Amino acid sequence: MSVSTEPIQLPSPAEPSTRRRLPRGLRRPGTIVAGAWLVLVVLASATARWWTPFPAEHQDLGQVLGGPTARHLLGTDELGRDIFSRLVAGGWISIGPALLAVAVAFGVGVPMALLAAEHGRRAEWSCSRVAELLLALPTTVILLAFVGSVGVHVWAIMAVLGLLLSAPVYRILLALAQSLRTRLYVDAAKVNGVGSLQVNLRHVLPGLATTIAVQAAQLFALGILIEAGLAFMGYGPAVPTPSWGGLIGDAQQHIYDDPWMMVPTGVVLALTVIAANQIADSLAGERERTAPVRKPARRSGRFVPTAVRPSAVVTSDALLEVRDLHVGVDDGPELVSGVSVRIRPGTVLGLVGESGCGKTMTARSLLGLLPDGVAVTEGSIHFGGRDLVGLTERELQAVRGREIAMISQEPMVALDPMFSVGYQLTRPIRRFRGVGRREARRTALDLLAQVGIVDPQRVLRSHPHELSGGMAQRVCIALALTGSPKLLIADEPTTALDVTVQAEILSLLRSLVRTSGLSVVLVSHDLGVVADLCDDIAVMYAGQVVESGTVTAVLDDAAHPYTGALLSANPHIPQGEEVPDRLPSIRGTVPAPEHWPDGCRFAQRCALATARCHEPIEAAPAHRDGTVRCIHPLSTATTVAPSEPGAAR
Amino acid sequence: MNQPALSVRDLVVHYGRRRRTPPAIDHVSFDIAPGETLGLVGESGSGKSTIGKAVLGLQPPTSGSVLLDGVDITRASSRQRRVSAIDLRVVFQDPYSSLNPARTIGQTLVEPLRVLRVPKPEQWQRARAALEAVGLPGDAIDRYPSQFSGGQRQRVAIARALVCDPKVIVLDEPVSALDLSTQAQVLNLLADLRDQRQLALLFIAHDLGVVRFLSQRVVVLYRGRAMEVGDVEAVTQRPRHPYSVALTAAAPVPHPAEQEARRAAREALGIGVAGTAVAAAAGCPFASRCPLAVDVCRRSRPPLVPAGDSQAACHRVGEVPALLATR
Repeated sequence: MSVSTEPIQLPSPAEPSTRRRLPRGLRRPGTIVAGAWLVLVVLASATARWWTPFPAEHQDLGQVLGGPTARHLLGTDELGRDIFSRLVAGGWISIGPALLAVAVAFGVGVPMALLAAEHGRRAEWSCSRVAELLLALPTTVILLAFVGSVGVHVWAIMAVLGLLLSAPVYRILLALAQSLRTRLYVDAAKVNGVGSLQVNLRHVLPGLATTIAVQAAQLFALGILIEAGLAFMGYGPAVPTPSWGGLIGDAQQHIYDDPWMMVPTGVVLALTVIAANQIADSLAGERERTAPVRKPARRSGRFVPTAVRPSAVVTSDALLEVRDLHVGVDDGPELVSGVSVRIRPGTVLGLVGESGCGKTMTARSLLGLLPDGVAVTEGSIHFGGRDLVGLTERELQAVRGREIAMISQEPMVALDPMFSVGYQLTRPIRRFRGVGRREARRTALDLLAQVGIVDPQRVLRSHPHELSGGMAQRVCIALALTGSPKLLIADEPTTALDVTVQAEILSLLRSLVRTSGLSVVLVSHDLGVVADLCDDIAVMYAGQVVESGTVTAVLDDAAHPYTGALLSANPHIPQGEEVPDRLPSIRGTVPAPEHWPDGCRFAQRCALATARCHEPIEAAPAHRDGTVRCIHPLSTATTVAPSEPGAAR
Repeated sequence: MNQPALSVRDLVVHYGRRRRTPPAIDHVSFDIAPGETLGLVGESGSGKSTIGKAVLGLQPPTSGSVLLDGVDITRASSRQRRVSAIDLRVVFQDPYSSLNPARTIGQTLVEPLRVLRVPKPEQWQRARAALEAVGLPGDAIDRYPSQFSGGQRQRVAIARALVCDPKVIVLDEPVSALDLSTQAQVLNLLADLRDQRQLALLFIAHDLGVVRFLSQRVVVLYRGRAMEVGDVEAVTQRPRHPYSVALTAAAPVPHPAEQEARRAAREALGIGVAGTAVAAAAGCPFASRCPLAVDVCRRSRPPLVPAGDSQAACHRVGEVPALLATR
């Protein structure tokens, strides 16, 4: 009873559950050594009584304060006891209580954080006050007072330390737990009737695991040091029992007559603390590596240097002309292959396509704002009598803002929440136009009025969080206009906005184009938005322009099957037309760049594809001055969708 | 068809403990019959997702009731919901955050069945069947969400909703994060499933075009109030509330000539700029932007009254056809 329109191809199981293996950070040699060291210390200490050369308390008064010998590998102390045997035997009494402190700290801190995150403001208030109280207590004083009133019980002392440490643990985990609880899968589990404990165990706790591991390793190191410190002061295990702190305390008394005594214990203690921190570091590094680290693009190599081109080759009337642009990942696949578009002055070009088709990469390369590791590898971008490809970063900076400006999808992210709109607007005005503060303010008011803000005075004083999304996008447009650019790149400028606000912003952009002669490159996935604003259109699929021309020619008379398919998959049925029972959909999804075929890149999803489509296909002229990259273009008469509606149903 | 699958009566929701702020949801009522889809449309801040949350028990309502198959689940605890709300499931907007990245698709799918204490072999069998029902191969069960595209993840989320064989599914913007071609695939899938299983769908969306495709009836929300309720064709083609007029006029169509005419018509309507004025506590929330607003609109709150083929909450409902005629 499958209702799928076609069998869905899953990615090949290249990485079958790598999750079960050790995190990559833990597989580094330094970390393996550190982990092995800790395991060795614990095991050696736990089994000490069966294999160390001497019992820990065995005294040999003939061998007092001796250096390393074959009989006593690490020498002897003031009672002639074997330091090696005592060091090994004391390992557990040093590490065990530190582990207890860590266990108590998380045993208290984690449930507190989970409770506070789950039960809202009141629970959080109570838990946070308790945590603050614990944080306010002086740790050393509390521990010494505890020793004073209860006596020297190492395990109990460390449990108290764990309780005190639970406050910082709670503090760190609370924010994380709260953000995990806003994930929709937590809501989905609640709707599914999963109990509160299970929700926490299955959906919240695993997200905290890495942070807990990092914190635990650090606290463990801290615990060992504090335990050693206490033992050093004489608050360690009762006298004959060896502990690292006690050993150091003993050694300290003979620092002048036998300095060697300090060395073995000091080294072992230091190594153990370093090992714990090393593990914490690699766990933390694992967490912070969100994306594969790529080598940063060489500044000068952002554009591959090509032979010096005469800058006056452009004879067309275009404001900007992109020819055969290729953009690729360093040592990786190509993201844009051979894109050629031109923008006439005072017009709007729409770059449309689905995500992963290279439209944003194309738009960003016009400003030289490609992500690290991505660079223009071939082609030219002619603008204002020069080729932007090959300009240095400094030369590009002169172009950005002054000649080509940009607005993005999220106006709230583009504005700095810390500064008032007035500050953010007047600074670039003063820089770009070289005017004084008062003049800049007047210009800012003019610009705000120009982008249709009714009370510019008030908006100038406000901060970004006081603005609605539409208002913020207007401010962003005003910001883009501060350098009086000739070209504005608008990357999905209305996608995050409500439909009525979108209409307002589109009207604003149109009036700017009409009144100030601005040209716009509009990146959008919404064909309706493109139909509303654009003069020309370039439809992109898998890094190529598959169809281009005037917006009327392309949208009313689509030649490429992909354009046709996008149009028929659009759920916006024109006024007065019947709503279809099912939408004609395109099977499959856009392939990833490394899987782009040599032939027509749409062929595998196209119902019109033939064998010839799997050979390379050149763009052919179409729509008078446009192009189409297809050997079976849709004719005007047929409005066949490339895959029949609801196929296989 | 005598009993609605889901019934929401006079729902009021406040955020925060203090009741000083106006309610996020203000006396909204609707019914959904089995096999029917009700669209809930509005802009951000209209409260459409809040209604979904209140129905799902994720946001306690201030007053009003939610009936599932005639049983009141308004204030059921999560334990009671395990029994009473078996037939109510959800699909969220964001397919990336709605699947736990650390759990396999199978673990995600059997979770609701474990709660219901379904025997283990049957759990996995049903998970596999649900995957096939949404057009994914059964071997997807052992994979992690990161191996799937957005559209495929949304299919998994739908499978999770289906695995308990529910009668009602709340769809909170299920396609707005998807690309156009994937969006059409998922919309078709939802329509197929609804027709095969007689599902009642509460379809929350901001896109009238998408709502018109999937829904039979629609509630247009503005600042927590129902502005217009009615048959989807009536509301989208012959709107009777100025706000519905504004919404339908603002949606762009991918045909340049038609869009130009629509744009001219929209600009002629004289709808006020969004977000400029704060709505008065009394009166119609849309009054500050409405080209038809008169004094009474700012003073008293209009009730939902039959108008044309739908119901509209507007004092000037008689004037709306004339407003449309000017375009």
